[in-house]
Amino acid sequence: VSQAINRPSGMPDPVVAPINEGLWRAAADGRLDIQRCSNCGAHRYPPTDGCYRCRSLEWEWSTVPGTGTVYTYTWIPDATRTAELGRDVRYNVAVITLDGTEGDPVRVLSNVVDAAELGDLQVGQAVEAAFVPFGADLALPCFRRRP
Amino acid sequence: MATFGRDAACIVGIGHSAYGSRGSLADLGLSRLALDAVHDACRDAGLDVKDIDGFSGYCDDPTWPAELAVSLGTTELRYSGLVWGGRGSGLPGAVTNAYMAVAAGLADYVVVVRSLIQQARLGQSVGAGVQPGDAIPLSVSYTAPFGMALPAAIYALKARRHMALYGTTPDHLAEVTINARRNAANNPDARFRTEITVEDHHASRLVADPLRLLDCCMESDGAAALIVTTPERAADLRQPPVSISAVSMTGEYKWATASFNTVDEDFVSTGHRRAARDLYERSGLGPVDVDVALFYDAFTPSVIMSLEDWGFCGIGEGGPFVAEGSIRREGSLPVNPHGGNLAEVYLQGITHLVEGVRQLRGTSCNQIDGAEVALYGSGVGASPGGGVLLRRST
Repeated sequence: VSQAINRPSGMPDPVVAPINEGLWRAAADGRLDIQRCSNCGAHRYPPTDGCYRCRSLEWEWSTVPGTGTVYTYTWIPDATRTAELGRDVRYNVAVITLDGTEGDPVRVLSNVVDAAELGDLQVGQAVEAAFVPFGADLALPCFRRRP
Repeated sequence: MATFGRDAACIVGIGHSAYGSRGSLADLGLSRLALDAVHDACRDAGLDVKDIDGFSGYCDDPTWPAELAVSLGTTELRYSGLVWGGRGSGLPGAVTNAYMAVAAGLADYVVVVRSLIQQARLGQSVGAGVQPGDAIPLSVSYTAPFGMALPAAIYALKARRHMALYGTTPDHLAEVTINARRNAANNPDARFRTEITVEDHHASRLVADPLRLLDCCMESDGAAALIVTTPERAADLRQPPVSISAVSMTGEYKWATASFNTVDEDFVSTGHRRAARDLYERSGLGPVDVDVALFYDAFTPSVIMSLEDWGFCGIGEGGPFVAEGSIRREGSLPVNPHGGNLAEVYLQGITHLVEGVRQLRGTSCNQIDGAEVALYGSGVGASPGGGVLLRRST
């Protein structure tokens, strides 16, 4: 992402745990890895111990294309940056339906980091993964708009 | 599924403490507020407070039944239950627990009580479930880092998709608050009794687009209580009993943390269509029988989606339904005649059941003529939620 990255101020980093570490590590390598059931192949998010479709407790990481569409979104005032910059700054929270998954649609809650104004997002907007680093060799899966 | 034993319990007493703004009653403490509400409810019922032998709570309430029992003089504490999960949506579960306890003969008089003192906080803590600077729980690691920090945002995400799919507008959202304020104007207990216009709504500050300040309830301090017993015991008490015709609990399919990874039927919805099905089946009643609806309205979109989920209009038609004035007290389905969370007080739904009882006794400040059946539907953003159907005893 070359332009300014629109991310909310002051939010905590995620907890890194065995059930999600692969997600953050893959993101740092530029991949979107989503949990996949080893038995039936259904993808799921956020990570859970069991498969909603076949009940298997065995799972693996699966790299998906990283493209998707905006399912819904909201804009929230960012008080910290609004005070710093002296103008209304808002971040977005968007729910993205991912392409290339097996099973029920897989949705990821994230930020579309190149969208800054209220008109910059629509339901159905095409997006692709854009990774934002945190900690050491970890990153958050965020998104940016695609034509 | 086994046949539900309907009308096996009733509400015989309602009460509440003083209401105040967030943190204003903090010096009293949660237990004192709860006790004020229980005393008020027992006076209403004509019971001695020491007769309370069961306690039913929700929303991870830290008010301890054993502590309340000491101050009430309860010598026989026979039942205590807290809904597992559900947060503010857990009220139907708390009524369910009380219902089961008295119907099964576990206790004589179970009080459903919710006591709330809202903590001062810095904005980001609510959705994350933590205070700023604290380590976050694993469960919010997929939401909080992305700024999913306000309960309003959960409703905003649902509302935005509802708008995209069905053409719901900010005017429709505004009508929900206009109705709440208009009703609260006649309610001496209400915190917000000034009526608003659609222009006031649109001019209020943005909280989580498309929601503005006047789409949100205001955090409150206070407590309310309902006393539940069997129809047999109710016959000897002061008030005409209000029957709990049926109860139901439900969770959204694949609900998780911020309920964003589910299917349209549950996402663009309160998630309670299965609870509606169960509640109507169990009570033998349907939407056509409901005279007044009490819908959890911490944020305006939940009323519009509740109207759809509980069968008062088609899916996606909640916006036009409110625009026609249907939810006003003169309309086809009066909603929240007391002012609801939006205008009376935000105590996570329990005051809606207090109003439901008043309506069926005929004592509401905005009495709906001939009200015989009242429906309560819980909010969203936590699971399980559900519904309660109250009926005037004959």
